[in-house]
Amino acid sequence: MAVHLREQEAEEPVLEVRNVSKRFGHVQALDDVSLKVYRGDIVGLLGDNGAGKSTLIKIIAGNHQCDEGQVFLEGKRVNFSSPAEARAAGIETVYQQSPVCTNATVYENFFIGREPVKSFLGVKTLDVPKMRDDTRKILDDIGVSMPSIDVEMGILSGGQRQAALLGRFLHWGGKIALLDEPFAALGVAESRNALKMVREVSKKGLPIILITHNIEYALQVINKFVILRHGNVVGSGKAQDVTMQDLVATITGAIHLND
Amino acid sequence: MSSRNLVRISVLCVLLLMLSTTMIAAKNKGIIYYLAPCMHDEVQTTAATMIKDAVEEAGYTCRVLTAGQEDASLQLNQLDNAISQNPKAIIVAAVDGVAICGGVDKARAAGIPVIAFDRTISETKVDFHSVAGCRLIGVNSGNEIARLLKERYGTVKGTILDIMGDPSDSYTTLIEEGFREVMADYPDVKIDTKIASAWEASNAANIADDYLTAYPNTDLIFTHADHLAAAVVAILQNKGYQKGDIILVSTAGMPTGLTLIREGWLSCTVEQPVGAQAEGVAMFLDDIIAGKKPALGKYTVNGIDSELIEMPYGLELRISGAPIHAGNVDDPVFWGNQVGK
Amino acid sequence: MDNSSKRKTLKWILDNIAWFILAVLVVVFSLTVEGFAQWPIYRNILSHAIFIGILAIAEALCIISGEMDLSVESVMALSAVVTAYLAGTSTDASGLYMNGVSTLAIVLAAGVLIGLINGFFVVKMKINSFIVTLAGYLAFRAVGLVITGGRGVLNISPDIVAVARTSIGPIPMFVIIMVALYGGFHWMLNRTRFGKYIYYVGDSKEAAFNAGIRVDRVLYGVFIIAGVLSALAGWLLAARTNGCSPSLGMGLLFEAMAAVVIGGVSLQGGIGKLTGVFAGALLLSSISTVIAIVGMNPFYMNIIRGGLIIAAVTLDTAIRSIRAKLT
Repeated sequence: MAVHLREQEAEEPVLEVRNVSKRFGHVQALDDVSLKVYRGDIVGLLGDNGAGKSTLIKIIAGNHQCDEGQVFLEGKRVNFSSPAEARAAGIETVYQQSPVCTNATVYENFFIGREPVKSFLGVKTLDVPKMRDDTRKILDDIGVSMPSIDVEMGILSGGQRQAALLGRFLHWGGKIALLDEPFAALGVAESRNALKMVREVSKKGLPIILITHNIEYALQVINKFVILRHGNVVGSGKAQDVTMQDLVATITGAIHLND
Repeated sequence: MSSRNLVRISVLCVLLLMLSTTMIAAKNKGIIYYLAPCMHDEVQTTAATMIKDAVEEAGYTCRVLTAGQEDASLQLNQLDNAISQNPKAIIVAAVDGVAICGGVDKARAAGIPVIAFDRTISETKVDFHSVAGCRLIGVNSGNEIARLLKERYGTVKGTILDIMGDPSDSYTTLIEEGFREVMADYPDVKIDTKIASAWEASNAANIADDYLTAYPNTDLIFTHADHLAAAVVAILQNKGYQKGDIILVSTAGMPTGLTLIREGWLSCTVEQPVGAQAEGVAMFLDDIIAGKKPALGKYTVNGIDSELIEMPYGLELRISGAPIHAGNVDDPVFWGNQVGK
Repeated sequence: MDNSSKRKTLKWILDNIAWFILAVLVVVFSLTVEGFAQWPIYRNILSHAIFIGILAIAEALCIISGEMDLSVESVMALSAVVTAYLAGTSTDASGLYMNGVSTLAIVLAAGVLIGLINGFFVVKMKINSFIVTLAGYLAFRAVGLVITGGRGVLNISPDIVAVARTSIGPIPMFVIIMVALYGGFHWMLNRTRFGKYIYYVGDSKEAAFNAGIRVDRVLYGVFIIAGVLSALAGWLLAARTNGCSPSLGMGLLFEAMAAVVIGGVSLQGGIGKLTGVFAGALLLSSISTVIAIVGMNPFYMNIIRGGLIIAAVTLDTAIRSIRAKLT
């Protein structure tokens, strides 16, 4: 195990969060939180409601800025002021709770914010055939069936919508992916599909941070975990070393887990 | 900003404010309000300026309030506010001559004389009227139109496109009434009446464009204000008509109208004598405020023949609006020649 | 699949319902109104639609983006006054005798500036666009009155007026300008990133923001386009009337709004096509034309307009409920 650890230390983490703190008025949302994500990792970011998971994700994704501490992407200090900047730097986020543009078709949604364009006499026009072809290919790859890629997101079922969002992040990849509660709206079969997709993506080397309440699903894919409680890291380590009972006990504050 | 600076600036502001109020208060015999119906054509903007000048010339301070876009309820509120300031008199060009009556009664009950300007308030007692009589303008226009048609055809006949202003404005409906009254005597004249909503010039232009497309042999176009005539002229030019092909008659006597007469596009405009109306108010202002009754009879106001008469609703100074045409267009008596650069 | 294509057809009909109404009206007018069924009348309908039409593009873009611009009419009026004042030859003008190109450049620049101001208060100060542009509606026309001292201007530079008089073949320049603007902005909305972002922002600002769209820039862009289009409309209005008068353009905001709603743009934002708006503008124009040539009591005109508001709002509600059922 020590050998394994040293191997990892030699490699630079893709994402490092170092001593990050964040307050909202009187509420200490995050207090001196640190974590590292390496290539090929699927890190489960676990914790109860209000533990600070979403705040941490939003700081990494550029929605919020931290009060103290630093965020490093591939060793370089970053300080995003908007999701657009974070995305441009290679951080891909899929939110479950946040709304989608319901008037975008499936293929438009795949490319929102970075549509491919053709340039004609310096005028940039959307490359719709490319958008449609790519979308169809990716959906086939991950085995998702849609009524049509021309329908609007607003009329898809929860599962179809989630699949479209996951497909989008699979396609774009970037340097690291953040998945915020990807299973919340999904049925059993759809969740199984989604887990398969997460594994597929990870095999390609893309590191993932997975936020979820569902420990059972998490343990099927994650290799590391970080547990937040009241804004503090109360446990972290390798998924293979712990049981589900240990994780649940840590989340609820019964015990502390540390590697 | 440091707090010391803040204090200095505040003190300066207070001093300026005091200075300005004393200047207003010190100047004269008191405050007089003028409530204008809107500021949307040259007649209204000129009327406001001329009343202010004439009233201040007479030694009073004039405050002008505008009722937005002919908003009758706003004007009532403004009247209430004016009453609360206890002015020497209130001059009002009523948006709605009936709706305003309650406010007029209130002002007079508070001992403030009310003067109706330009638009008659006939449903209650008012201290003084200075009006041209819009119906009379319509009658004069009708007579001019009959004369012009007769000159051209030997008899009064033909097709007239009649473009009114906004129908919520009594100015245009009264002109229409007077005009129709005259034309009723001429069965060979066909009149098509259209509305330029909000007195908006491009509405008049579109109406003329469409109407002349459908009826190219129209003989005469009568617009209820000169700025509408100007837009109609632009259409005549667009469509390749020459001066005089279609007779054009208008009302108001705006500078725009006088220019069109000089250019030869407009045959005649019947003046709405706002300058004389404003002067008429100033002439009798001291008497009205003092509660004295001026002698009835003929007067000359700004060079225009006028008559002071007693009506059931109070004293009325009736100033006749003259037809302006190529022969008299440069007469300085017309207000259209008195404004502008 | 069959269901989806049925849905598509229905959606297409909803998006273009104004064209069906327009077609029916024009056929009915042509058959029943004397003097209506001729090319010059159809040409009038097309070229008279230009002012409502251009303001309606500006308004439609704002409404699709989830905002509102009530200032378009007053910006147009201000632009017409400035154009007439700078290019006028009558005594109440500036005496500068400027030509078409320089006046156009000045008013378009003013349009950009006004768009930036509106955008600043909406985006940076986070004030509701309805309030911001209501203030603009009141203020900008008044600025025009101050410039000319409330006077009208008559006779402006002939190269400006020529735009209103020129035809290319049988087609008036106004019609060409309007069709080009509709074509261009339709293309922009459907085939460029910026156009698509207007829809996404109108659907959900938060979702668009999370997707990496710079929502602020999109809104600034929309308000600037609205300002520039309104200024262009004002320049053309001065050309049309060969001058300006204080009430010029008054009431066109309502007509433009009506065209937008009749054209199928949802007041909720995120939905609507310019093709429908174009039909809406032509619909209003043909109704004005028929009123102008048919011999009837002029007071009916406002009754017809009032009926039209009710019809437009009812139509909007109906379309929205049908759309909701489709999803």
